[in-house]
Amino acid sequence: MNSCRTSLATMSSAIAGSVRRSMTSSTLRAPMVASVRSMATATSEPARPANTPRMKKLKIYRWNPDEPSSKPYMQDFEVDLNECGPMMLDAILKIKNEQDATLTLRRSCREGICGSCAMNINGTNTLACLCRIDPDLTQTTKVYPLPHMFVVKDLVPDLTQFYKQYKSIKPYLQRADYPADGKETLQSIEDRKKLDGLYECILCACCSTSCPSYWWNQSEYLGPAILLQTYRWLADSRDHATEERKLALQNSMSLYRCHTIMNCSRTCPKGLNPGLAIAEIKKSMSL
Amino acid sequence: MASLAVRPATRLSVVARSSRMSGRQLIPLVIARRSVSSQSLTPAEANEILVKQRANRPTSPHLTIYKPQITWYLSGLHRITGLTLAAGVYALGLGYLFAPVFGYSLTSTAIASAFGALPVALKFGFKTLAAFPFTFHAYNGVRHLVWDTASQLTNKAVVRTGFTVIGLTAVTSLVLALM
Repeated sequence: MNSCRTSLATMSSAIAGSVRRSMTSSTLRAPMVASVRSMATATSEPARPANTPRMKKLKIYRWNPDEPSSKPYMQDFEVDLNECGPMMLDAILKIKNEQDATLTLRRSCREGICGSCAMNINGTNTLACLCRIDPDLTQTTKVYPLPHMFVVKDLVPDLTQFYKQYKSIKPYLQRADYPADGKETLQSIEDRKKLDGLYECILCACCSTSCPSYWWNQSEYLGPAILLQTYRWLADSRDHATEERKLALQNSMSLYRCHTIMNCSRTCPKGLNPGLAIAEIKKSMSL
Repeated sequence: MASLAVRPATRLSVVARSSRMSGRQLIPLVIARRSVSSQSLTPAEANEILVKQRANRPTSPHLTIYKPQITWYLSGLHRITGLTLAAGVYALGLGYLFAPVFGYSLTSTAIASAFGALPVALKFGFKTLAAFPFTFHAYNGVRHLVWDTASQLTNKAVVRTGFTVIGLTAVTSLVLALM
């Protein structure tokens, strides 16, 4: 909590500093009213002892599409953990703010619910906003984009095909008819429980891009994330299109490129189990 | 909706300040200013840039950077041992068929006598090398069959059954090699 408050204070004073700097060049003698929006006041900032900086080394994957002939490379950075929030996203944004503004990444909610900041940190796919920085200063943390994806820039993968695959499974309720009274399609509590562990998927693509089978067959294999959502609709008691959904999987590639490698469930940052869902689909296809 | 291509450029501009500052006169100021020049593009032109960019995109690293885990390592080993066993079956089968053409014999008596003549260490080594793929693939195969029933598919169970298979493989290979 302390580091959160400190980083906020540091950021606001940095903003104030830059505002003041840009103003001095144009308004020379006017009394400066520091109309700086700051949430830190003199009384709220705790007295911090002067800590020796704890420098954490990071290696981050870089590639610039404006210089397409140059190869991707790993750039070294150092971050003082005393001046940084606890999560990897805090460190990466701190680097972007203070060291290299060209570092490009996707991010939004900073709380693990939007799925934007999915990347490969120290070898596993996870959300940067949920991944704590390893405080061991002797170890370098390596940050890569999601594996085996086309790189738009730095840590940003091209997820177009992933979204197309999601659209292809028709992820919406399909029914022949709706309740006559015009009210909601009812579902029992037991049937609703069957959707737990399926509906929480945020489509971050961590699992699909951790699957070696998806690496080799991305164009035809749907991947664990999409198959989890397929099962979400297969298991939904309110959906009438079960047979059509199963028919769409009746080929050698869409579902059956899964060889139960189980990298997906291991890496899911939300604790979901796509591997189990796929096994249930396979069972329902054959039994 | 036309999109804008933006290029960074530094420009000097002269700015006359209005009397927002109370009581001050108009002060012409020269400000060195970093500004961007923009270029208008049609959607088609913008799309062309995107298409050209897509052609040059690298693929992000995968096998070389992904953390070694029991999940994909054992899966890869299952595939490799399967291929090894299949290749061995083909080699033995075809060899048995065609060895007499070259003057050799691959009957079991011939193999047994040739093998028996080897030193003990080599015999043990070869037997382990043959036993290991067979036992691992067999035990991991059972693990796969269990998975097909949608059982033992939690992270903990995958690790637990994985180490069980490794342990059983080691013990069984040793026992078979010592026989």
